[in-house]
Amino acid sequence: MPKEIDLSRREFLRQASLVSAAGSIAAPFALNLFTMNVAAATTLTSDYKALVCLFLAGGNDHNNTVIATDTPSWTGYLAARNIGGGASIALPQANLLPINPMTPVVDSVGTRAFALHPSMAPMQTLFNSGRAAVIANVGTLTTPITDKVDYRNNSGKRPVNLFSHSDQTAQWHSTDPAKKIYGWGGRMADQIKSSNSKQNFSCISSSGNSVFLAGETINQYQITSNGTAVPVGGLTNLFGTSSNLQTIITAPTSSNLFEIEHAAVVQRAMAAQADLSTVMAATGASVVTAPTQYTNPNTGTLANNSLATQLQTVARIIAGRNTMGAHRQLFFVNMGGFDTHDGQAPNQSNLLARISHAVSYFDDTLKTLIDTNGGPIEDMSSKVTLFTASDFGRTFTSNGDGTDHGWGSHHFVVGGAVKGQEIYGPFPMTAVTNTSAGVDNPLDVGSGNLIPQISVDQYAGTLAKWFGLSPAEITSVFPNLANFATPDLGFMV
Amino acid sequence: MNIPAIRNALNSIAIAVFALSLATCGYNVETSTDAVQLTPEQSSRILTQATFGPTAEEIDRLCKIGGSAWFNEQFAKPQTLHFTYMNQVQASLPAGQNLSEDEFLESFWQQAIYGDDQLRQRVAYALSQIFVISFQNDTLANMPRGVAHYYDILGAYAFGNFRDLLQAVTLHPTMGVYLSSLRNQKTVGARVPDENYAREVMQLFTIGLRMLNQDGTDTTTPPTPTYTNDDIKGLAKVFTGWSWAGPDKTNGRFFGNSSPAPDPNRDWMPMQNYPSYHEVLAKDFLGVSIPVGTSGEASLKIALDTLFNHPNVGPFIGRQLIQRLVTSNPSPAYIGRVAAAFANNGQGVRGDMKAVIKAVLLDPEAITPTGTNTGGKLREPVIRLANWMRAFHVKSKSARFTLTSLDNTQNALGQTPMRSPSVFNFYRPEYQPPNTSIAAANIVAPEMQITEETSVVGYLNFMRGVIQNGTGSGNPRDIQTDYTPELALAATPDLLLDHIDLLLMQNRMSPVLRSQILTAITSNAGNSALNKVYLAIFLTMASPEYIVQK
Repeated sequence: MPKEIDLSRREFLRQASLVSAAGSIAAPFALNLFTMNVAAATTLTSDYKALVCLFLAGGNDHNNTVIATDTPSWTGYLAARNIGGGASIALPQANLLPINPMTPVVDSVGTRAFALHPSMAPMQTLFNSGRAAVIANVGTLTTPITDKVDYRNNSGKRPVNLFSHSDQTAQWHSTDPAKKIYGWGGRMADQIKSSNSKQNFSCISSSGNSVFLAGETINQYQITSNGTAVPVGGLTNLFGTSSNLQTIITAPTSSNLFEIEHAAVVQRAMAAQADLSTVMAATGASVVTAPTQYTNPNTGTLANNSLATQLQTVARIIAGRNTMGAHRQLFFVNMGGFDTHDGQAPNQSNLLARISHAVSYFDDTLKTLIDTNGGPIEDMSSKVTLFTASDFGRTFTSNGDGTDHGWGSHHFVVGGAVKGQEIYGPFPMTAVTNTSAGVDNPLDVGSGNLIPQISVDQYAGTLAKWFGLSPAEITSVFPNLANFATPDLGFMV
Repeated sequence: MNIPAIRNALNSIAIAVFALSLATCGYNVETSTDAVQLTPEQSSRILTQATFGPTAEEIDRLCKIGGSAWFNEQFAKPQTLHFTYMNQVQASLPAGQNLSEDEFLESFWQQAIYGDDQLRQRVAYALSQIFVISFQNDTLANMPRGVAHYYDILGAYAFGNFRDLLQAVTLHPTMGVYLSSLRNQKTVGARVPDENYAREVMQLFTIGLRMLNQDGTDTTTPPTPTYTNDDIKGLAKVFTGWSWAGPDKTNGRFFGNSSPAPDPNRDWMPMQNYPSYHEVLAKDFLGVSIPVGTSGEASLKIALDTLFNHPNVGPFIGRQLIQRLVTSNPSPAYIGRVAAAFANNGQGVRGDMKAVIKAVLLDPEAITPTGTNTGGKLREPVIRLANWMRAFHVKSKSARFTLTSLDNTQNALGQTPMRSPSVFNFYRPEYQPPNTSIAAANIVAPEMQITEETSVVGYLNFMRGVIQNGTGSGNPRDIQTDYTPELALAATPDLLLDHIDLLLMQNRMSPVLRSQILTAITSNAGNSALNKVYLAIFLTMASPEYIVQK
């Protein structure tokens, strides 16, 4: 039976969450009393930066997203995926969209060539114009694993519950096994939250509760995907009388922890709603233009893209940065549907089309973003960096019309501050080990699943450095980063 | 189908009688052999946990006949099939019009609110959050009758044996679609079997990720994994060759082609095994080796027997049933008692769901409040709405309960039966909300995973409207109540609150909350009786004390 926790500690934590919920800067010193585990907080108020995590839930098949098309790679690709049948997931080479990294990728496989999935034309444009980069074979690792021999001999090095959706999602969001309910986005916000006048808008999710934005002292604020924040009705006039509804819903009457925490959510909701609805920009042609529809590649028809709407909501909040006194913000946007065990060809095609359409819309919108505080229209695109993440990649082999859970994956970083048109990280050999055919892939731990050569810590640490965290703060947020040789992958200016 | 209408009428007559008899509940001298003599509070508590919500009549009944008798009565009640309703509705639709999930949801609410077999209803709903399939899958959205039949399976085996439940779920075509085991093919060259079902049947439906003691604690620190990726690959081979039922096993039928014509009942008949697509190679998993050439049916039996007999199942499934029905953080001893009932029902049978259900719901920790500040659970939004519908005897104007998706977090519940966002259900069993006293106490609160700024406000606004105007489609709305018993008590606010406290809060309303609500009821002396009733109910249902079932 869990013990009743010490009254004073519980009260301490309740106070802490109440103080940060109030978002007051009147007592930054008081807040620091509650941040005992956090390194001396950095205050960054001279400029604005935002990180947007676009999480592809289910595990995106990276092998059909960024494809190596040089002859040896393509041979490996066909061997694994061209297994016939109408629903085969091998993509016809003629339909792929070439991307041309400025720095040629030459390695043990040869001089590599690359292309994107046929549905990703806007992303191809972003890459080839230097506004997007590819980070190759990145995945969950607490310490480097050299090759499959190292993997098999040292099972303690492997991430816990590799290939499980819920565990790998949590590890992508958190990277720190000791703090797995707190995300690295939230822990970054813990460090820099004093940069924001309204600290409760440091972390904003348009996709429900995320581990990614869960900080140890910061609560993420959830907003609906289309940016509306509705107030509680009946506060002043309820069924013919004034009532104490507000007290009832926000002030717990007992020491029961569930009651206390539910009341705390309601309290935060009420405090934030009044604020946010007044500071974010509206949607519309002269404010933040709504996205166009996208073309569904399977039907050829136009359809709404809810992902683009979520990114519009993010842009509308960023437009309110000066009104809400925000200098450092993190956003979380989730997109589901990537667990393509079957029906991969049409499903992934549609998902990648939506990502490309939405990300391109977001980049364009940021280039001429209004300021709700009356400032000039500004090109915010070099101050906002969007990056993709996912539970894992997928097997290189196929079950006929789909793939299974993988590990290392390829991801995109997009924005004006990205040193784009490059592929970062060694691009792996794309072949499944087949000893009878003389093919050996040292990173293949089965079914073409590859040991990542870049850890989530390195990927995230590079973003954190751009975001403005000090080296000490980066160490605090990413304790395992020290296990890797390259803490800064160099893809940000 | 007139049964809901008939029930509506009978209940109206019965209400006045039972409301008056409530005061005597528990004080009758009975010569029952039932050792458990229940107070109204205990009855309300058991009904809160075992049904979609207490009613005055059922509280009274449970008091009179005692716990064991009530459960035995419930176990004996016949099952009403959603499948039958779906067929009836389809037959009444004009040509070319098809069923949708809406008709399933009508049937769900009809049974959840007016079904006599409340225990079966509630357990089936709990099982639907463990053995998850969802209408959010596009294919299943077009197989509503199949999904209804799947839900009936959960209802049928809720009182059966877990081994049979596991097999029925595994072979149901809707599960085959949802977790892609349908049309899964054997290894050929580079093509390997789909691993989806093999993984999730272990991770979510039987043994979980970590080796457990019978009391639910990990066997080792750090935990010992229950399976490896190799086990998944081996087990995946078992789930090959299974596809649509029908009069033959042609390749065309396996793939679901238009020729030969699909069997009209393939949406619900168990999948059949097609030998030409079933794995020929040996299948190795969890220390078991199924020899080369073993048939699909024989392989399935070995695989499901292996999973069923794994020592983890009792604590793994037992803990989740406790979390769905009673409390988020059961003691290890409580879990151990439920696991023991799973292992042996007292007559040497493993997996007897009736024994498990009684162990969950009649355990001392279920019947008696724990009194600690870490006890209890958040009532999930669907249950809150159901509580209101049952407590206040709603009637459906159409008799069909036309209440459809409630997914919208802003203006509805943010939760709809059988519309989970993924196979991981609306919330994970081990969820801890970060930066809270709950996390600091190292306890879990699954339902907090869908509790956030938008949904808490949405719930309040939604219930405020429902209490006054009802819910469901149409204007005026289909599902309403006229609050007859409550209106009779409006002039005596104390008695009104007693009544609502027992129905909704198991008589556990604190003096502080009671005083707050009484203040609101009496603050405007000229307020209508109806407004006073709305105030009493809404302020109760808005309070953290109601939202947390403890």
